[in-house]
Amino acid sequence: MVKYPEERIVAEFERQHAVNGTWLPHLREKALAAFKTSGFPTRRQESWKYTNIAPIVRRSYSTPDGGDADTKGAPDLDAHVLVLVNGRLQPDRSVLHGLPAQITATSLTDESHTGLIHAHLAQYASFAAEPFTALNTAFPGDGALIHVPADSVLEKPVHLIHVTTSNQAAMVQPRTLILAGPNAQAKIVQSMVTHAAAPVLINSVSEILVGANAHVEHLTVQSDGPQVSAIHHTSVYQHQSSRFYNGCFTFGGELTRNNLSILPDAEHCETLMHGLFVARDRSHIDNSTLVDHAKPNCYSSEYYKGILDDRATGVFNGKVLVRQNAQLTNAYQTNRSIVLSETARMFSKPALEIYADDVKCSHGATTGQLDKDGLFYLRARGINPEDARRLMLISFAGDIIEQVPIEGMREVLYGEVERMLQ
Amino acid sequence: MTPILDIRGLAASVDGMPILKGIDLQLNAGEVHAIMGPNGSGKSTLASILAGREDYEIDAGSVAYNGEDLLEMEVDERAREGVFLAFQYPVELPGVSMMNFLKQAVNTVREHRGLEPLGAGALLRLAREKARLIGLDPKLKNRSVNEGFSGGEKKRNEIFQLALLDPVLAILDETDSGLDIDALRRVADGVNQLRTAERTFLVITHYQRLLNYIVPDFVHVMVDGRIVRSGGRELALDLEEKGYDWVRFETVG
Repeated sequence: MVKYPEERIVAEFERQHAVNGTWLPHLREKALAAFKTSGFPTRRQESWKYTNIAPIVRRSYSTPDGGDADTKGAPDLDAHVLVLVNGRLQPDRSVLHGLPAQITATSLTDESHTGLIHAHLAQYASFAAEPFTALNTAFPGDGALIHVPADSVLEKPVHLIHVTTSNQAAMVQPRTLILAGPNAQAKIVQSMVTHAAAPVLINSVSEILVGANAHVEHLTVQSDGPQVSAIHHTSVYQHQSSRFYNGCFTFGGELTRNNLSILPDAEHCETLMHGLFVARDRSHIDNSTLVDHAKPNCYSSEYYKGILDDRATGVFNGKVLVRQNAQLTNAYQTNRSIVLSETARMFSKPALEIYADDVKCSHGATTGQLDKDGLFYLRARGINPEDARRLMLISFAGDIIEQVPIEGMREVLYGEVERMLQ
Repeated sequence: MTPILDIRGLAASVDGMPILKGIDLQLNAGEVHAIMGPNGSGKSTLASILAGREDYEIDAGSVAYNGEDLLEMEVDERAREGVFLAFQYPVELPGVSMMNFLKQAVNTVREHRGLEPLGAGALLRLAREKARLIGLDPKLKNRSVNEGFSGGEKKRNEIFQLALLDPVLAILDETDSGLDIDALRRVADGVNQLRTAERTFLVITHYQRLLNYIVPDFVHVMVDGRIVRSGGRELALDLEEKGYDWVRFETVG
């Protein structure tokens, strides 16, 4: 019997979830209904025009349980560490003893925080128009909750390591809820590690609430082999005078889609969105972002870069929406890509949609090859062609890496870029 | 004695258009030669060909560097062997930090000469010393290569790199262009400090004024892809007085 991928995936999750009980049943039912109505997105939809997920979702996946797995491959940071294996908290691998008492880093099934979870989960990442978010919400299993209450400062970052491990083709759905109260400060790193020989599909959803005057710095790092595909969705809600930085780093993988959706829903918010990817072989990396300026006097700056080689493809879909009420918005958007081979392709679609009349906005995109005059100049100083090329590409990436506000991560990211360029 | 640079019958073209039409030139160790010529005479083309730019077709002739076929060598190989071009238009490299660039260049060249690579501290000390010699603001080492440098700073940065890389043959391509008289004097002072009994210079310029400061041993006048006259430093003064039409007329006559 032929089954649509949607039916097959739902059946597999339902079989697994029969074991996991009735966690947030009402929410899950609504999300499941939304997913069944929409089905997976297709290239006929504008926002998926350049990313074809059909070959990825057509595969049969198991939905592995949690368990134990090492975190080899994850950045070694001076941080509070929360390890999730196949989306489930692994307390034995987590290192949380130094965490200040008022700050919470725990599982989403932790019953002592049910009130907080019910109040915030699925409040920021709408699943109505996002089938992957709907699917994640329908079968969340477990996930991570990080709560930095009002006036608390998290000195060291929390490092969330998502490990995916399976002997057979597997789909996992990590879920993360990050809540920063008024005046709170937090740095969060999410890194993805996969131990699998068979195809893996990660469908993750992160929701971040940034309270009034709070500062949150959030970094995602995915560095994977060609067997790993990932749909990452991050939704952010900003209160008044808050500051949010998002850094999105992708190295390799089969197909990656990074959705970032930010709503600065009060005045004087500051939003920085930075991204970098290196794609080789047949990698496909798609960064789709939306910043929805709903209120006046906010600032946003977006800067995404990509390096493509071999037969890789890249997509940048960046939308800045300035609503009628959002006067005195300052919004900037830049996308730059270097295409190193004749067979690699980059699709860049920066978009400003402005309904207010007193704003300062700009956007720009460039896609090109390595500057020949620059290469000649370096070689004229004795530097061999490979080193000259590497020096220029690392400098290109360095523009984004240098601005990463988390100690220890800049070195890690330079290392990843170097590794990808070898 | 083998000349450092031995150019014989060199002819080159771009897109089928002849630019150099038979150049003969011999430079010995420690000599300073100047090539003067009007715009479009081919003097910068000669500098580019010697450095290894690939936009030109070599139609005839040969270039021997220390007895080796220079035209067969890659751009970076020439530089490692001691050929240095001070660019007329130094390239800006956004994001490439001066120190990273210098470290890579200096240590590649040192390694080629069988010398130990310099560590960060030693390189910094050497860079500081040479920057002082050239009169280059040491703060520029914290910037990206040539990015946002003034015209004078870019030219001085070229001479600074010359000082660091310690070449056998230094080619200065219109190093005076775009400089006011003070900047010109400072660049020239830097070059003069780098003159040694072994190092050979080829100074390409449109104007005689640079040669008031960098005094050449020989002057060659290039017109329409040929060297039409060679002489001592007094030739530059004659040219200044009589203009290029004088040599053009003489040649035709």
